[in-house]
Formats: sequence, structure tokens, C-alpha cells
Amino acid sequence: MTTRSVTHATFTLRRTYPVPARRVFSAFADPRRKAAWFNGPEEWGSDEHSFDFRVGGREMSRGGPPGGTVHTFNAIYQDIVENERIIYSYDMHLDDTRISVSVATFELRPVDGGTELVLTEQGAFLDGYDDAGSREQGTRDLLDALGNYLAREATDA
Amino acid sequence: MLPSLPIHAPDRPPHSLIQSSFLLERDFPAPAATVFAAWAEPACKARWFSIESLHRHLDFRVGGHEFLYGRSSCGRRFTYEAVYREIVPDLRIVFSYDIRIEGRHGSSSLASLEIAPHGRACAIRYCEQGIFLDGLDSPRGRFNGATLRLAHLAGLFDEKSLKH
Repeated sequence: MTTRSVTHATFTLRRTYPVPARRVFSAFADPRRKAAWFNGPEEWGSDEHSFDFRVGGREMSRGGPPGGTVHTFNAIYQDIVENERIIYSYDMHLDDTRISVSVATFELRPVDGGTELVLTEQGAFLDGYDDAGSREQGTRDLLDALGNYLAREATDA
Repeated sequence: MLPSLPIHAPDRPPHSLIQSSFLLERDFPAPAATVFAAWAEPACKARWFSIESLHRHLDFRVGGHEFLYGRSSCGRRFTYEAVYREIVPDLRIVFSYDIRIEGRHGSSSLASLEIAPHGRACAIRYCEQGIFLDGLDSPRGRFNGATLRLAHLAGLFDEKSLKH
């Protein structure tokens, strides 16, 4: 039998990207651009993805290693201010088990030479399957993937 | 030459936000199933949760929505819209919700309720993690509101109410 528990935690990550805020915002808002960086490890292959970027809209992403655990991300957009702010709540599942429910806030601020992104995630981690530490590490990796994508795109332009 | 316009019109404060969380713990002299039902059943919930609301709708299942509309004590129109994210009968409820005040988005929050049975009584832990937007809504107001709501909920379980 599963031991039921809820652990609450918050973390904040900051990144500065050398591109204007509208480029960072559009990497979240434009389905084609988002698909270029918001995905699992390469060896997982392409995931199943649906995306409706508007307040009240949903996003779903599902994937995993071949034959392994299926990771599902289910988000609802709570707040969107163009080029400034995005808030979504999301739950994560491993196969059929819900392991967390969180709310993530992305704030974009113009700074010298680019845009500062401040991400704050407030989460409820369920039944000990996941914790804030591993979520924070996973989120760091994601923001690095976004940074690499933005840099690649700037070089290609 | 035209004067330069402020980025935000005078009646719209610049975008800002505050993240805040709180935890409330209460003991109730009622079984876990009774306390759970007070959150899950529309008629029961209407007896204690936002009783001033003029309109309410509750679809209590994972992915289901809850909607309330009314006027706050200071006369402002508000809406409350929640989505249920996790439900374990008699034990746990997790939901996200948004408050709009006069049509403007005031806050987004994540709320979790845990119920621990102790024989014919139970203990609850109610936690909210919130984001308060553009000065429209405040962490202090939310904490006070949640404290008041749990007091209303406790009122359902006092001896007088249980005799009805």
C-alpha cells in the first residue's frame, strides 16, 4: 500500500539570455519553436504533444524511454502577459501515477544585453515519488535547453 | 511635441507579482469521510465555502471545474474558478484556482487538503501556494479568508449542527 504524503516546496531559477524578451516569450508561445527545446532526453525519441497557448488552454506532453516508464506533463495556462509573464499549473505522471502538482511562473525582464528569465515553481509533491531537488535539477536542464536553442537560433539567423 | 506616455495607463499598475504560501492545521470532531464530503458534495460545500456567492457550480472529479461568482464584503465582483487535479477519497484533494476581481486576474493558487483520520475524529492540513498579481489581491487577505472559511467549516461539525 502506498504511504500517502504531500510535500510542499518552492524554488527559483534565474537565467539571462542574450536575446530580446519577445524572442524568449515566443519560444514559449509558438508551438513550432517550443517543440524545438521543450522535450525529453534525445534517446526518448519524439513525444506526443498537444498545445493550446491561451489563458485556460492546455498543454500535454507524453514520452519516455522506449519500453520504459511513460512521463506525462499536463498543464493549464493560468496567466499570460505578452513578452512579460506566463503562469501555468501542471501535474506530472509516471505511467498512471500522479507524482506532483505545481504552479510555474515565468517572468521576463529586459536587462543590459538581453532578457532575464526568473522561474519560480511552487509544488506539491505526492507520496514521495519526486521531490523539489530532482524537479529543480530537471528544470535547470530545461532552461539550459532553452538557452542552447536561443543561441543556436541566433547563430542561424 | 507630444508628452511621452507612461508604459502603463494610470489606472493600470505595472505588472507585478508576489508568491506566498501558508499552511493551516485543524482538528475536527468528525470522521474523515464527513470532512471529505464537506468539500466534495455541492450541497454540503455551499454551507460553508464562500457562502456569500450568488452563483455556484461544482464538478468534483479530477479535471472537473468549480465556479463561484459573487461580491466581496467590500462590494467588488469576484469569480473563483478551480480545476481539481488530484482526489483520493477521504484522504486528499489538490486543486488549482484563479480569482478574478472586477474581471481582472488577481491570483492563481495551488491548494492541497490532507485529511488524517483519528477514529471518529480527524486532523486536516490545508496548504495554499499562491501568486498574487498586479496588486489586485494579497497574501494577507487570502490567509485571513482561508482562516475564516475553515472556521465556517468547523461550524458544521460542532455538536449543535450535528444534531440536525
